Amino acid sequence: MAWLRGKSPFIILSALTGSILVLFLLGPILSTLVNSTPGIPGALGDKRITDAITVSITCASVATLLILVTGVPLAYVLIRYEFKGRGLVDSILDLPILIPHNAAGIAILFFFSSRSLVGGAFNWIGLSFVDTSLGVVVAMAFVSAPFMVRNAQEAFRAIDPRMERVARSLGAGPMETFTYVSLPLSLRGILTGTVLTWARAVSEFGAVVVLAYYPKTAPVLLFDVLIGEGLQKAIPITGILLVIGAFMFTAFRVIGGGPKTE
Amino acid sequence: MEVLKLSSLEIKCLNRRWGRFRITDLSLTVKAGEYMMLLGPTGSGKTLLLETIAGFHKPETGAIHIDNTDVTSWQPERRNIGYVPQNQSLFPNMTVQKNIEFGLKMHKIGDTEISKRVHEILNLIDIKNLSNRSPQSLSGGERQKVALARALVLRPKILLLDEPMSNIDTPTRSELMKNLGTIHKKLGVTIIHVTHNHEEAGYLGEKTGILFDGKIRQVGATEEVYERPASHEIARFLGFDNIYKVTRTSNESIKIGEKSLIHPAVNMKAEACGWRRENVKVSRENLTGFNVFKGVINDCRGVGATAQVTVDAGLTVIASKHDDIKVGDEVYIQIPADKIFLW
Repeated sequence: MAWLRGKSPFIILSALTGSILVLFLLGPILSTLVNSTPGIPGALGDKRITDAITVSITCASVATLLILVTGVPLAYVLIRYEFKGRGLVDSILDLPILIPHNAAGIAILFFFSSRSLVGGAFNWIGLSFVDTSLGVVVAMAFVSAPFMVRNAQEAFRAIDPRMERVARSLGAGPMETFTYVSLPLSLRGILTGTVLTWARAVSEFGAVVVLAYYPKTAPVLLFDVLIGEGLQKAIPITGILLVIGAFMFTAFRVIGGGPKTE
Repeated sequence: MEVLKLSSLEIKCLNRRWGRFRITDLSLTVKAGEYMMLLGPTGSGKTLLLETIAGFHKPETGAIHIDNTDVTSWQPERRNIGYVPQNQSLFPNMTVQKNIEFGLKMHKIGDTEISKRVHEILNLIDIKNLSNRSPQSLSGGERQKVALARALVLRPKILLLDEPMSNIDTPTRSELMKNLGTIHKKLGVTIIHVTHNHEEAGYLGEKTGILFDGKIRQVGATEEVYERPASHEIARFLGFDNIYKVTRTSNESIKIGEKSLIHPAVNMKAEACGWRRENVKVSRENLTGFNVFKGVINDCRGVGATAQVTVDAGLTVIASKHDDIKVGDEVYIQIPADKIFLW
């Protein structure tokens, strides 16, 4: 216990209480990984599981891309420009985090079902959201969008606006200033947002299961297997999802989203 | 590098509010090729004014003319105004050379011309050795030089400098002041330089404007502004240590409390008076002439040019310190009548 020497009682107490939380978070994950590892190769040979993982990864990637191209400009506008209702728009971004995800699914279903005005219009051009991949993408995008926008906002906030003003004085228009100055300087934050958005999208269950039970995503299949076939069958799928999560966690740390000490 | 085309600036009755800063009915003329200093305390609206001239804020009312062309509604990128903010704001994702090239590329200038111009400006500012460095590796003075080069390489009509000497050590500041003077002489570019440091203004400015609370309170040749501040607030800002409330005036004298001072041209409406500490004579021997008071030294501080004494002569007077004077000494002080300002 050499590391305890010279530390203040407050730090020691904080470390001990913090350790309880770390163990609480790590324990279930590690025990599931250990128990699921023998079953993972077999699970990867099950077409239902590989199909579900493919749907999850593909739809999460499309959802992330859609949020990237719409969320980053929104984050920039919210940080750099003042306009009426800016506070309201900013607050709306937190709604998907605040409401239960199955309720979010019902809201999306209500808005995009073929009986609604918007859903009807999409239906008319051949796009349906209920029980389709498109529905999965929409549900994933809805719940994970705040992660992209909030991270991009933080990244833009960290850039001194005077730097952008200098760029303008040097002849760069708003678009060029964004492309050559703001975007490169906020890239790390945006990448962190992308990783978190993707991770949130791939793990979404509540909203997806309401809007698009089919095609089954990995979390939906996991729920199905757990209910229909029992815990032992569900564990390998859980292991695969944890491995995907660990992969995203590593990516997040490599990009630099980890905690920093003062 | 060739001498730049000289441009004039005229600001007409400008009004703009931004947070707690505001500019009120501000009018200012800067002649082509002039070095204009804008002096004002923190919060007086100096940066807001520069940013409005550069086009980053639209004035609520008023107009900005460059060479008699109204540019008030023009976007910043169209104005060709060089802007060096207080922290220089070099692009950290580019080397020094790329920073300097940035504006030329935005103006779609050909590669050969870019190389020529960058080479010229690196030589002029004497930063050739920095071209491949990253902004993060530069000292404050080097960053300031690079920011200047980046702005000047575009041959701007007007160069705006926002507190360029802040956060820079004294030797580097002296060097930068000399550099700015040289650059102005060589290129003839019209410069507006804002600062709260009146030494900078005294050294560089051909003309000086005093900005208080978003209003230009005085503008004129730098020497004239220094010699004849228009109000006691400006005088205090410009380093007058001795400023007093005038309690009574008569034909040839003013009263400060119980003390009468002779003055050759008394303004009967004078509310305040003052003088610089370097104009106060201090002697152990009695002095002849008007406005001589006997007093005791009750404070003695500072070294070199900042050395000062406080004399209690029924009136607390600050004067420059002489070597042989110390606290408790009885002295005579004289305030020459022609050095007393009335406001």
